[in-house]
Amino acid sequence: MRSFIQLLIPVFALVSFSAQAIDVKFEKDPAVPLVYLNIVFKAGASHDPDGKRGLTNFMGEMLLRGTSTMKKSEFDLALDQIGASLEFETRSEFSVFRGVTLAKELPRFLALVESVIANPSFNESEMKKLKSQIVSQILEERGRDQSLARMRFEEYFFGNHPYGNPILGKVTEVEKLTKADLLAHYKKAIQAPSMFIVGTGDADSAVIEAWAKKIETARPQNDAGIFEKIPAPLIHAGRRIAILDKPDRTQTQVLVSQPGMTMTDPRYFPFYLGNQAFGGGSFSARLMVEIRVKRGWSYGAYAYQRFGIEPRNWQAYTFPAAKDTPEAVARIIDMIGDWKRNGITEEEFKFNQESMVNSSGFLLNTSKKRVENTLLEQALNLPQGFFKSYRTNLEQLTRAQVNDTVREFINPDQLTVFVLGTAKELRPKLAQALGVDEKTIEVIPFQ
Amino acid sequence: MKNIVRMTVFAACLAISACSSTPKSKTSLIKEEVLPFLGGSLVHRYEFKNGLRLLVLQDKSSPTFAYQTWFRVGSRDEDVKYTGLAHLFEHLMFKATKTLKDGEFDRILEASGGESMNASTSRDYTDYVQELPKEHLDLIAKLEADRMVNLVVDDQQFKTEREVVQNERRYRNENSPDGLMYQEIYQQAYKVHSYRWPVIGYEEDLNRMTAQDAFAFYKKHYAPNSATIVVVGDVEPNDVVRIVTKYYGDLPSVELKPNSRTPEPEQKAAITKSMKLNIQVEKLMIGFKAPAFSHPDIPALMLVRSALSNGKSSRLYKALVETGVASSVAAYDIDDQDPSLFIIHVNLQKGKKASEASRIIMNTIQKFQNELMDAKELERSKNQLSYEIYEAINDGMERASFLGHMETILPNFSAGMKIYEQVPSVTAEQARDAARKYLQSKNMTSIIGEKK
Repeated sequence: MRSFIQLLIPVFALVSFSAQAIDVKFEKDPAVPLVYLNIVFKAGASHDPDGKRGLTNFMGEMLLRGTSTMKKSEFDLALDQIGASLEFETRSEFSVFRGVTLAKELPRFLALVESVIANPSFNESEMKKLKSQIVSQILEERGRDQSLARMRFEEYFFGNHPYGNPILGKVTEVEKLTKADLLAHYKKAIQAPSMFIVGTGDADSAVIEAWAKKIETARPQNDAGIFEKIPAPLIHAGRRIAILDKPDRTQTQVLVSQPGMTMTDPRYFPFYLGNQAFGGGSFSARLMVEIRVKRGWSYGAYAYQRFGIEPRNWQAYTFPAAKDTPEAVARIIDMIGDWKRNGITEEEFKFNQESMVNSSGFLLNTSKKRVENTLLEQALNLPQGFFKSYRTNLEQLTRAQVNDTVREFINPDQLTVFVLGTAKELRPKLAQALGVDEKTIEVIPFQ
Repeated sequence: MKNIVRMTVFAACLAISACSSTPKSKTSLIKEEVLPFLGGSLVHRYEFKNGLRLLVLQDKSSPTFAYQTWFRVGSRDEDVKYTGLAHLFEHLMFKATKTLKDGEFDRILEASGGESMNASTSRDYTDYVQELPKEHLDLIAKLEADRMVNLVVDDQQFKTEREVVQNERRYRNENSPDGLMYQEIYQQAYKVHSYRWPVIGYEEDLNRMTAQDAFAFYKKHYAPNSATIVVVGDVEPNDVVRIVTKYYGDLPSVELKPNSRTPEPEQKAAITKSMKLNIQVEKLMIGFKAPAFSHPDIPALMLVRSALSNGKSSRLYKALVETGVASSVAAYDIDDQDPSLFIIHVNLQKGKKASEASRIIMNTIQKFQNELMDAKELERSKNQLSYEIYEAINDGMERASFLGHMETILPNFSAGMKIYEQVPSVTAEQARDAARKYLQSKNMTSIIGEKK
């Protein structure tokens, strides 16, 4: 493959039923005889209680392990029988039941999902089995450098802030989760005021609306309250460098990061354009040209923001050969400094503005993308139609706005440099390339 | 049969000859037909005098289109000691041509609002893909036709891109336990056929290659008669034909000389290899020799795969994951042009051994071979397959990929449709017989991933 497909943050004629407590937005699309349904809960890994990281994911998976009337095996059988899938996806600040069914089996599918949400059994023997499975998944993830590096980077970057919570949790904490933990979390997370539904497919929205009312009745607001607002992360002062030490690496994973901004920040669009020119993933972006096209150091080099309700982080990411890593990291830091000092050129501005405006239609060109946009708008407290506004916002930008924003936002003195690699070989060379004392580079065991 | 993909088959096939509405410039067309596709839509299929094939699926749901070019060349066409050349060459296709400077191809498409611009290489094919706003059909046809015949392979660019590919190889294989096991299973299972080497190639072979090797590969394999263009989206078929004729109609065909493909001799005994890897839990990959995708047993084998591993009520999921032996199990890979591998991939749970998983898999298969699926399981397995197929054609790019893939590894995409059409009528006996025929221990190659 030539490159990773650039991720689009992808919105339309959705039918909305906001009068009810559980908001429903469903777009009819008969292109294929499937129905996609997302039931969203405003509870994510960031809401895991102290010492119980992984609880939201654990609760979601336990919901799929049997109901008051069906054992897990019976539930699995019923779901597979109708050619459907239902997965629980935990994100940092929300979680989603992602369901897909053959359209003609929608009524049976909705009945199954209802039972999962309203009448879970939380069977203790299933809890034991799930713990073993999740612990094994955490251990398995340690073999995959890209996801391991990203997970451990977030823990390092955000420290004790909930944004650093790993989705699957920590082995020792998952093993200690109790049924009481599960019941308390379920009561708080799975109630109508914290839920909304978005979907698309070959079905009438009225069917989904009627079903949502049933869910609302089954899981009305209760006395557990809702999760408290996640506070903004504290900003770490000064530059820091760390190596996640893993043996025998011939290739590293490099993340160079600083605090980020929210999508509702007035600087969002000017920075978005400036970042596209710097490392937006295209083969014309500076990072790609300098790291891949000119030097062949890495298969890819990108810069992007991670978004939350509060500011998360901006990061540059690449994965060079171990031998080229010190030079590549030094080059990226130099490029970040140059970007802050000099901004982007008029040619870069015009090219990227034209490209982004012309491609903005692809944010909205399929019903699945439009539904995902709506999901993000509601989950991250964005204005309705936010993604639809991209074209207009991008067209109005000036180069001066972009460069002022880059200058004000980017802070090379506050970078966190995080490298997954073999520390013994990498540490002295990285110290030399970055002009720092080797001892200032923190080494973190990967296990 | 209940709940299975219902192929909307329009009476026989709507083969038509050029009609009065087609443009006069279509003189280079030798065949035109309209054929049914999944979900009731129609595909216009054309063949040109120079061997180029064109598939057009109109979908006006958004003012965009997917444009894909599929070449019938992959790692199977490489020579020993030059493994990875097809993929490395794919990278070079984004470099300079006689009419465009290095980087211009990307810049022109990006400025036009192009999306998903990418390419991939497999054992059997290489494809180049992009999505564009509807007004840029002429532009992309011009650019793709240009690089089909006018590519310039510069020595310095070659060396830099080779380093990029070495890094891709480190990423996908060298530093990836799953990648290393996947590479190993084909190396062990194949002794003579070119499927035995990895698509990405070996480090030493990549280092051996020169720009001249790449250019020779281009001249040998890239031509209109090795390609299929697939266009899916807000386009008029006649416009597509007119534009494709304009830019590709005069391109000469070449004499394609595929490498001699020695059939893989029959495997006589099970092969097992252990690998010490940087992992915390054991892994197991088992491959059974399976027939080419065009083989009549494929629909039954697809159903076997579904019964064994699709969904949490599948046999292997229940036997391995529900029992606490594995954290995940998946089966895949029976869509190659030549006989390939039916692979079962297991991640073990903490402290569990791959040997235990292997025993469970063989017991589960043996049971499947000895007992017929009941009606409910048969229906369930078909429904799961149906879901899987529709999921794979959910947007324009995916539909284009599905069509391009089928048209490339089979005589034409309709042959692929016929394979899927047969799934609903596969019986429990046929599924059992396919399992008996292919999932035998003597056909088996096992790769065990152990903690280093």
